[in-house]
Amino acid sequence: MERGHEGFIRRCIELSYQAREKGNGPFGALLLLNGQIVLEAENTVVTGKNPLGHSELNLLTEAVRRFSREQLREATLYASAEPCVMCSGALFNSGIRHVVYALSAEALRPYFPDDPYISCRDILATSSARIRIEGPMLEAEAMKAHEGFWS
Amino acid sequence: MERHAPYLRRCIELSLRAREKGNMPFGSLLAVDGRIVLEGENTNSSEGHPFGHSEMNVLREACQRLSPGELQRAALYTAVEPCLMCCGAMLHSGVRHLVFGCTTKALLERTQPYPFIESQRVFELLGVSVTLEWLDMEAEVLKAHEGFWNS
Ligand SMILES: [Zn+2]
Ligand SMILES: [Zn+2]
Repeated sequence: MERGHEGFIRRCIELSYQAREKGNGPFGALLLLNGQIVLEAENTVVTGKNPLGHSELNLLTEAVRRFSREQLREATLYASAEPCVMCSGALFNSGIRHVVYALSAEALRPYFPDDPYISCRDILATSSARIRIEGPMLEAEAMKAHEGFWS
Repeated sequence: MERHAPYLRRCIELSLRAREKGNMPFGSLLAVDGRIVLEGENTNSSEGHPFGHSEMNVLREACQRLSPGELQRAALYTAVEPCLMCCGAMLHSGVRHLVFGCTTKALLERTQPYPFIESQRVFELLGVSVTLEWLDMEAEVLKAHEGFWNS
């Protein structure tokens, strides 16, 4: 694991606690541009009554409004968990070409046994776009935010 | 299959309407028990919103307005095969029936090469059972795109 990622991943875990405190799923994401955190987002599925309110989609929706495609090509998306299919698609559409996550989809699987599951690596690998994917990392820390939430 | 044609023709109308507003020529609708309950068009330019895909616009509203039972019985009709993000949004919304009139591949052959992932492949990889129907209305659908991408 690259040491440089730790701080940003920990911030995503903090954001996932913030989301949980509001009653939402414990997920958080942030966008790094030129070494600076330029955007942060939380899961809003419960408070927004919106099953599409994933932290990554919330973040990316704002990112594509605020930054040019050229800027986004240099940006990194950090997330407390591996992006789902929808969010991987949004990442793909945004032009961002680097993603770093804490929890793997596999690690979260016991909480969502009936959900369609796939690693974002497998889904993005079917496209010819080159997206750098790093993770999982700090999984034990990230998993703490989920303890007792789903049961 | 033919029963789907009028819905897809309506999607083509919505595509043309989007284009008239300066947006990309894409349109979608949602039908429950054969009745059109929501329509959506691409809003990429008018709202300065790169994620304003017609499918996403329809699904976002559907999640707010329809019951889980209605979503389960709904069919998403869209002129052109949906992207990865919109396939993912469909899965999260609970909609399990997709009908489109033109493949992404056919569109991209006329426009410009761009990395993409076939929706069928997405659902296969995920192992979700989705009724996916492709009615070949390529010529009609692509008419709405004539002169749009290379002018
Ligand atoms: Zn997601
Ligand atoms: Zn889309």
